[in-house]
Amino acid sequence: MSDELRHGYWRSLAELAGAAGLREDAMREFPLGADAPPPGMARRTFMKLLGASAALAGLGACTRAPAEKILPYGRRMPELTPGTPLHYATSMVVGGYATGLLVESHEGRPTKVEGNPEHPASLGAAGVYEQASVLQLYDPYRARSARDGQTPLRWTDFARALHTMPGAEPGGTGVGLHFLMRPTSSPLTAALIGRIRERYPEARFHFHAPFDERAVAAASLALFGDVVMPQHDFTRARVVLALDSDFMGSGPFSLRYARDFASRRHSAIASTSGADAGQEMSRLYAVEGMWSPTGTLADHRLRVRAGAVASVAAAVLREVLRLRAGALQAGAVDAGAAVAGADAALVRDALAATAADAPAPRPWIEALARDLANASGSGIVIAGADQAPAVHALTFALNEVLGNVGSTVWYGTAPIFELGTESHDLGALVDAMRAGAVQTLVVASGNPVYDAPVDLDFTGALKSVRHAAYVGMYENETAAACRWFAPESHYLESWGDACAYDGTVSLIQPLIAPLYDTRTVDELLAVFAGTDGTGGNSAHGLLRESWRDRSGGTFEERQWEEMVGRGVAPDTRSARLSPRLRWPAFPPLIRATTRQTGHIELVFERDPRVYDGSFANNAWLQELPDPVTKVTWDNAAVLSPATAAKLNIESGDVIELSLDGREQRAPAFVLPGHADEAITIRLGYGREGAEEVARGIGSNAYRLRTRAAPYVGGPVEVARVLEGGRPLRHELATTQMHWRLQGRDIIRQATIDEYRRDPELTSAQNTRQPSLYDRYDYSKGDQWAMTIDLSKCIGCGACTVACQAENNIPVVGRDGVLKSREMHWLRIDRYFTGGEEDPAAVMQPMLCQHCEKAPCEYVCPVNATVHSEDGLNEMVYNRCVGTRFCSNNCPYKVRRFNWFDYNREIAETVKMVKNPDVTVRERGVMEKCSFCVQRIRRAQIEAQLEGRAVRDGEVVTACQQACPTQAIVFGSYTDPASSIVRSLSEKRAFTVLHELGTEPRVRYLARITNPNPELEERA
Amino acid sequence: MAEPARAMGAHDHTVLEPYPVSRDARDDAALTDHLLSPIWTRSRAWWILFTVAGLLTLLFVFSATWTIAKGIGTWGNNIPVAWAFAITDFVWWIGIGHAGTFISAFLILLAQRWRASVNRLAEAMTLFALVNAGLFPLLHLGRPWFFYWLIPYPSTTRVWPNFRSALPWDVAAVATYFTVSLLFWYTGLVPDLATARDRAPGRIRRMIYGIFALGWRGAGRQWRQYRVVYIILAGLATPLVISVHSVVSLDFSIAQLPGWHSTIFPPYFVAGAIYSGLAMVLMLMLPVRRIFHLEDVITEQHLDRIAKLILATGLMLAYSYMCEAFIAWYSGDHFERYTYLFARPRGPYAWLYWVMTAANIVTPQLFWFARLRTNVVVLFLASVVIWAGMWMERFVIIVTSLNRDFLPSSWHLYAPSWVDWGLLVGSLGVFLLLFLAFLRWVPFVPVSEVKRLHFELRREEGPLSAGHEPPEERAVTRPRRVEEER
Repeated sequence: MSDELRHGYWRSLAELAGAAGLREDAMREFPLGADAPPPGMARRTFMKLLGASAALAGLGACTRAPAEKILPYGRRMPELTPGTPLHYATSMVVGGYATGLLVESHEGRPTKVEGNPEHPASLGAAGVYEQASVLQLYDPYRARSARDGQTPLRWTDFARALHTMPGAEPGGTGVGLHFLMRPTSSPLTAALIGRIRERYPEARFHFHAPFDERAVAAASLALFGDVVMPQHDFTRARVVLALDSDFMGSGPFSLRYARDFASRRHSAIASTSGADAGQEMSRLYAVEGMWSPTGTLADHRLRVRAGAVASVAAAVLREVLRLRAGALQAGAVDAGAAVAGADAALVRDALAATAADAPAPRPWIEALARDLANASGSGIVIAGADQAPAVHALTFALNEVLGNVGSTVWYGTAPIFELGTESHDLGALVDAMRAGAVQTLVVASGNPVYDAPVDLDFTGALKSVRHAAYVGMYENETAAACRWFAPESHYLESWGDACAYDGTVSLIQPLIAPLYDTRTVDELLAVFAGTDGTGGNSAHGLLRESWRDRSGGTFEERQWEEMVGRGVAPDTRSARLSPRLRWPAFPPLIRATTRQTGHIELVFERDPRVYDGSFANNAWLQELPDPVTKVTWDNAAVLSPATAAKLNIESGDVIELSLDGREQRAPAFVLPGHADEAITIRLGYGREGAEEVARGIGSNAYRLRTRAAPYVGGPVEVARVLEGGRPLRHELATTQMHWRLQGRDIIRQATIDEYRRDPELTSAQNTRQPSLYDRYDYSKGDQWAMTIDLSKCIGCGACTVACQAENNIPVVGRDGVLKSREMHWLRIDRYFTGGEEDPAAVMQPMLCQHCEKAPCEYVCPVNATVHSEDGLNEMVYNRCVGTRFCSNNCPYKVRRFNWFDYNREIAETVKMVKNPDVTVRERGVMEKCSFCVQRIRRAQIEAQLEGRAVRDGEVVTACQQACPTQAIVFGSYTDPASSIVRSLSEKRAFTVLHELGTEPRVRYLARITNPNPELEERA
Repeated sequence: MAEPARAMGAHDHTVLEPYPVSRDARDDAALTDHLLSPIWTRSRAWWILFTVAGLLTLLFVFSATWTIAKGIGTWGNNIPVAWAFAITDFVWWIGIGHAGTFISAFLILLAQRWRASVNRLAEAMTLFALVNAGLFPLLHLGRPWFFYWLIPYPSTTRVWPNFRSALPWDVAAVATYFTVSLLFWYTGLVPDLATARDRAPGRIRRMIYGIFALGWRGAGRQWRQYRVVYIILAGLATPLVISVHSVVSLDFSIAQLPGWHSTIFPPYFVAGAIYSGLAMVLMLMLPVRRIFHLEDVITEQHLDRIAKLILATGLMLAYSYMCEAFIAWYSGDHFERYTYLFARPRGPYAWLYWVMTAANIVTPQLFWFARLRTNVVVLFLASVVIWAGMWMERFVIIVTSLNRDFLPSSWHLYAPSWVDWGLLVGSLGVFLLLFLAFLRWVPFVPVSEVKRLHFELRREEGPLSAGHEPPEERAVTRPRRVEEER
């Protein structure tokens, strides 16, 4: 017996028995082999374990709260739904502009992004990028460590290394030191740049992004003599003309604009009932080549390729001027609004030249011009940022002539730092690199190697830079081309600030301490700015310091807390400017537009899902169907049926696009309603960096994009790729194969006049079906119901991603989508009506209809899907055996099946994004929309504790919360004063597949359009 | 085919039954030896077939294991087509299983003598088809380890199955059917097992058959009780033939899916089931009859009768097909019309629909011709076509209804994966393996029943002999006809 046992203590029977090996092991602190590397471990496995350990370190997030004081969103608003999880205000920057957010944090772990109701760019909504950004935080393929060549570095060592680079030595003048950044609106960044310029007078800053506002800036500089940005008030707009502008679907203020536009339209429709009918509904004209979400909502959509938009705009302006001249003679309008005397002839000539070949029917132009002129002062003409300066000039002129400036349109100073100056020209940097003037290049964020114009050959020029350092979130293409690399923090790990499109300064506060050894761009700049004083190099310190400086030292702690807690700096919106339009500058600007006819043009667009490629590694966004093509996990060369027929191309054929001697292959997608003689291709695909999710997906259209033609290129040669004599095919993973309604009454629509004449047009689809059985009494307690307004839905997909984030919905990948196994609980069905060439599009969000007489319930053999007393069709995951009978019997096909164990295969970090309030489903069970039952029950418990009923607006579903146009209304219909009752009692409510008698709790509001009576026969 | 020609020529054409129910003139001992000989002899061909069947069974086991290990995602199923190959296979196999019980139970109640020599084989087919049919719904579950939640038992969760759904009834129906079929088959087998015991060469076989013979001695009292039990079981099994496939059809018709939601389904499914089962009986019987020289026991009369049944059930099926399409049109319902008048005949699976229609409707029309009803080659080929056509029918019903339902946005095609094919082909292997084992170790022609038939025939007409065939044959068939007329 050993000594220990002699004392009578033993820890196990085996020990008592004295198993020899065990006794030996017990003596040792670590058992044999514990310190040796595990045998047979592959590098990948090691990396996985490394990731897992890092993630698990993050899981103990209670202890990872940032050392600085961060502040919860304390000021509760009546329409907010605060719960046990805390919400913090922060902001996300896309394209240089901030969108204010509230981020839900569970025990220090951010899980869900919502819009900040107090932020002007959000008003409580959040778009797809914002919704999906939380997944990016936990992306297992994010870079985790700085490096010099292949040698790992700590960030601090990286910072030290930067100071040894030529031009950046302390005390130097900065000769040869260049910075390449993304365009920024951050006052903090601007201040830091200022300090660096003081310290290194010769250092140069350059700004580059694949999508920018240089065209707007150029037009504004020429016409107004200053760089100003047009601002719009859609709540007051009666007639809107969108010139290739997706103002509701993309762009810095799109969430706000979508809300404003929809709310005006809705109030007009809602007031349409008998006597008080007559409030004017806004009318939207869209001129575009590729379908945009905005275009799908247009009352009149003119299918025109991007290169011809300028001529259409010119034709409209010409017509408006003609009308104006008539009115002028009649003395009806103020002469000041029209073009002044001497310039008139010049302008007229220029317009005549530009408008000469406008591919628009003359009656269309005339009717539009009349409509715009009649709505003088309450119209908006808005141009897409990607259009040429000529289109922006025409837009400025149109708004000026129409008298919209000052009421619905005004101008504000550009929030983007140095927009319109030479620092925004990447060409200047590349020239300097070629000339050997760049000793040290610090690339802060962005991905220029991937997205710089191909004819600049940025990659080639970069080889001549001896010291290239890159700071970014991923080891992407640019990282691969730079010797030094350091990882950048995600915005949810960062302190900082940025401006919204209207100039409002928005605060960025972290939700979690950095998961890895990362820093923000501001912290990188601080290394050079040498701010070692009060704030150290932490972004928090820098930010506070900058606010103290800004307020002249009177900035108090209380003010700071208030500001950070709300996420918005008060009274920082840029002033309303009304710069004088200089007509003499106008003719040369619009003459500069190069018109191209008789060949096929290639249009480059930002992707509605991966943006410019920066979100390409986000599986939620990859799997989000494109709003109109419904393609996932791919981009495609989109073309019209007529053009496809002419070129003998079918959807899925791989085609080779040749532009200026460069070639790129892409799969074709034939889209009804696309402009003829044009091919649209989205950028951001064909990635080659270390982003495993994005790598190899799609086709890299940047390889065709030149400096001279960043948005519209041509002529492009198109050829089908043959392999062994047969066309090479690439099947696109689309979530919707059929676009016809097949004559089924799934979607109801009417014009506003029809609706006023016959408000009962959907009443046959809004009644109870007769039944032999007694109806269950659904009149007591809370009775949940939803309405979806088809007049408002633009199909942007924010709801789909919000639902995915809220309800822990797995991603199935391209193969899964090809097999029709996508898991989205809420999908957006897109149908076209009318002919194949020029159809109208309509969006219909489709989710579990929570039928009172649910077909899924009675066929389930094990009672796994049952009805609750408050009208929810409930799914009991742990009872489900997976017969899938419920799905077969669901006429809406909204049930989803766990074909594999999707949640077992995900990375450890990604598990952190899961919402703890929602069950993570296992393999073999059905799932579907639950009306966010976790939110309902939380609210009910709270109400019960307080001894009251659930208030209207207290339960907000994830989709409803995200929706920019507020198309979704949710609530209990037993509360007579609730918004859901108001919405349900709208005359145009209807149920889908009413004839089946399923009695859904989701009702749709018929889509009401407001076509111009002059053009109605055409529509 | 010399015999039918001779028989036809030798007979009055008004005679409805030109073929004898048995032509065997051996005495009982010789007949017993003849019928038992396959279980004492070995053959190389059997081993080859058995190996092939074994390999296919392994394919089934592998595919099933893969499914259970990985999930239903290994199949081609999707949303909207959540049911596809596996349910097709299930309905097909269970349909096949109907012919056996139909032949043995229905016909015993109707006092059809011709069932005597073929019922064992048909019943075995039923059992083995049911084994396959039972496996598919199990594998088809997302979480097969919880299959027992479909069974009503007083669980601690106090949750019962949902009796409004057809699926728990399906489980009950199939389980009952399997149990009764097994008992029925085994009860019929006991006297023959005893015979095999008594004639077995070698002690070990004698012991094994002795165990399975359950102490059968052939005593008069045993025979009497045996007959009672057998008739009772036949009485139990008969309604099951109708009910099982009716319940299976409810799996579809209680749904509101166009193409499924149809009141004609129960009789339509039962007719189709017997139809496909009879085809498979022929497919199995014709080679067995030839290989084991059973032409005297399984005569042209058997072939002729089965062919007539195929024709009859085939016509019922044709009526159902037409009725479905007509009602869809007559209903005026947009969705019904789309499914029956567009999606099936002109949709993406139209070729399958038309092949199915040709196989199931046109093929049995051959059997209007008496010559073709006894032509072994025609019978065999027609059976294979019908057998495959009925699989297609189930596929068409299930997949073409699901793949295009109410909202065009959710329409999607279905394509099977290798696992789907592995399970289908593998299940054929499982069947073949069991069937070959049955042929090798079990008396597959009911010796006692054939002897009993011979005894009855002899008592009615005197001993059968090849020389006196025509008059005796007439004598044998005439009372039957009288019975039929009554």
